[in-house]
Amino acid sequence: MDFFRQLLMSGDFQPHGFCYRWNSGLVWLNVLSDALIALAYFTIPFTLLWFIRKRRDLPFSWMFGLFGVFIIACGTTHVMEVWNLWHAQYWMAGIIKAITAVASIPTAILLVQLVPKALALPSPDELKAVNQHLVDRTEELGRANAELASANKALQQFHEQQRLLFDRVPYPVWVYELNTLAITEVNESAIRSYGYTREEFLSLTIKDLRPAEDIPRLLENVKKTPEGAETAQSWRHRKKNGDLIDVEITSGAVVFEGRDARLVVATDITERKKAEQARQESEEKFRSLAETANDAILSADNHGNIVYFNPAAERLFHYSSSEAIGRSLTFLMPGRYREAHTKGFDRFLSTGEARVIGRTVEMDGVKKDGTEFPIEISLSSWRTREGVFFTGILSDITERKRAEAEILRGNAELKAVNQELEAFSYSVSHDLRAPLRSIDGFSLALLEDYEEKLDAGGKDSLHRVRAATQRMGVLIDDLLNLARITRTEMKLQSVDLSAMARSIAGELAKSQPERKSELRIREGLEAFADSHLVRIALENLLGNAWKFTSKRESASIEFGKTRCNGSLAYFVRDNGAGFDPAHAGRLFGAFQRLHDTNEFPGTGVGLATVQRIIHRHGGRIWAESAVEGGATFYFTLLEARQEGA
Amino acid sequence: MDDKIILLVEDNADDEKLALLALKKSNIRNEVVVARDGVEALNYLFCRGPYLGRDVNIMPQVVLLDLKLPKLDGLEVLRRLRADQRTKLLPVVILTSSNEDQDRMNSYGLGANSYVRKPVDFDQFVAASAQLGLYWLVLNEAPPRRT
Repeated sequence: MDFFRQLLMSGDFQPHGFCYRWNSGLVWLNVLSDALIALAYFTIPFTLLWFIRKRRDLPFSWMFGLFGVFIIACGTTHVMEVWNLWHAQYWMAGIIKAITAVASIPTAILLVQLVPKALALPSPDELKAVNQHLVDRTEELGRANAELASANKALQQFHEQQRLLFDRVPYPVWVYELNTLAITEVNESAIRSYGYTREEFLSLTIKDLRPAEDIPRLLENVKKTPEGAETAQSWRHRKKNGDLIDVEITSGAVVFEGRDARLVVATDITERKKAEQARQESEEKFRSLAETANDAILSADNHGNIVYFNPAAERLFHYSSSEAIGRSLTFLMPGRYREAHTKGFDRFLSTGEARVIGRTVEMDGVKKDGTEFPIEISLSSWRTREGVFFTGILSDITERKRAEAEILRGNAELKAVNQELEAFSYSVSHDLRAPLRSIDGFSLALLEDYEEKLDAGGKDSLHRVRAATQRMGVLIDDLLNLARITRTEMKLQSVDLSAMARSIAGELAKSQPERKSELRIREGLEAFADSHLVRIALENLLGNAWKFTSKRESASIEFGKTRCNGSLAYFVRDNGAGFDPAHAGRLFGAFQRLHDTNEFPGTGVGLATVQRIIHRHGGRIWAESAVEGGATFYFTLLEARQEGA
Repeated sequence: MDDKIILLVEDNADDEKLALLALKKSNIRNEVVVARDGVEALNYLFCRGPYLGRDVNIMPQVVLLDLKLPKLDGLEVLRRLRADQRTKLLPVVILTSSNEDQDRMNSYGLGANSYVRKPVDFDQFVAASAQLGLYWLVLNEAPPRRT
């Protein structure tokens, strides 16, 4: 206890200020300095404490604790310096110094020991560099990873595309192993074309794709061509459904999954083969056609040299095919045609302008013996990869030319005859009737002027002269009319025959109103004819019917249309006198009469006129009758325009 | 009507006589001038040659013109009449044997006023002459005379 009391007591010591003789400046200098040092010393441990609390990862943190205690102790010694200026508790100060010493010695020792360890710690710069390095490496790694991923993806895409390409090749493709002939890969097109599923395909060998009879050749072929590409071989393949197809095979050696294999591309050429066959057949057909044709057929190339000469051409020109082929076309034509031919030929080749090609022309040809003969030739041209070719089809038209000349001569003669006939008619019309007028006129003058001098016989004779004269006048007129019908130009049009017949019948009935008659005319009869001529024909036919029924109590006349002898014909039927069918042949001859003029008047020109009109219309006329049994006259008009009954 | 002249152009003497007879039988008493060919007809109408002194103002009421004539035929006569101002409107009746289409066509085409065919039957000829006379000399009004 005493010790502590002594400790807290100043005892008999003088305060330290006394040593400074209380020099106030010195006292306060010391007070202030010690106070500031103490303040700084007390502050530092707190800062350190704050620091190590913030940096718990810091190594050797205990060192900071020791350091803190040591500094606080140091600070306290300076507080005691200030205190003892006035209180002189030197014991207390000593004890505190001792404590400070106790704290500082181990601190110093430990610090010495610590320095090598602390030095071993990396500096912040080093740490920073290391850190940067780490960051760089990390980025590098990230990039490398991304590249790897994209490379992986590309690889995967590449594989997919390869597969796709393989599958999408529009030709069947497969791979087979050379040793076992087993199919190890196959594309979509093969699957589609052959009808097997992928699994089925991969269980097959290439032998399964062949018809049995082709397998020996296949095995031989596989043995024979072990390497390199094999191009375009024709094979037959069998599909799953058994169909055989023609294929063209292209194959090449590959190593597939580590084994020798062949990659095969198959092209279906069935259609091509068929087309080829059809083409050959067609060619054969046309060749045989050309070989057997009656017309001469020859072809020439673009130099005008003959490349084909058919048997008919051999017969026509008397050259053999081998003599003709290779020679110029011009040697088959007379010299006078050659220049024009060559010009036209060159013009066509250079400008394409064709004057003869595609048409049929007439010219002359020359036989081997030099004789010329008229030919008709139709030329055509065709283009091939080797150039333009020409084909001519020729026929000998000597006969035709002669016939044409004959027709021309005949036409000229006919024209002359027609002109003569016309002149004759004209002359008859003018000159033949004048004397008749004189005979008739002066007979009448005689009758009148010399009436008292003529007896009954003389008068009768003069009357007969007049009657005959007048009859001749009528005959001449009828004859002229008949001739005119032959000459008249026809104007064909639609003609209402029913209306025409009604009009004629009306006139007939009016001419003899006292007669009892029944006139039946079918409605709607039409014809394509010359209206004027047909009217003359109908007038004659209906007029005849009217005339030959004059002795009947009641006349019955009918105009209609019926099927007769298999064709449709118009008819005029009456219940009149009729005629003896034995004489029917003379019915339509000019001036032929089957009845006495006294019984039924007429000149015998009417039916001849009718027949001529019907013939001019391309129709026919015939009649059926019996004596006193009436008559039916049938006629047809232009066949092509015949209306339905 | 008596001063109206008929010009008959007719080469056939028989026909001329018959025509005159027929006109007479039809009681047509007008003067009938007869020309026996085409030239004579034109000479008369245009007062030329033998008719040089004729009064050109006296024109026939009607010309009866045959077609078949010596020298100039009827159609040529008609053509020349129609081409001349003095005779352009002169009534011309073709009186002929023919009834050929071409004759009728040509006659009307050249301006004939009428076309009559001479019938063989003289009775009919007389009847035709009577009708012609009645029509052309009495009924028909001639075109106004040129002075």
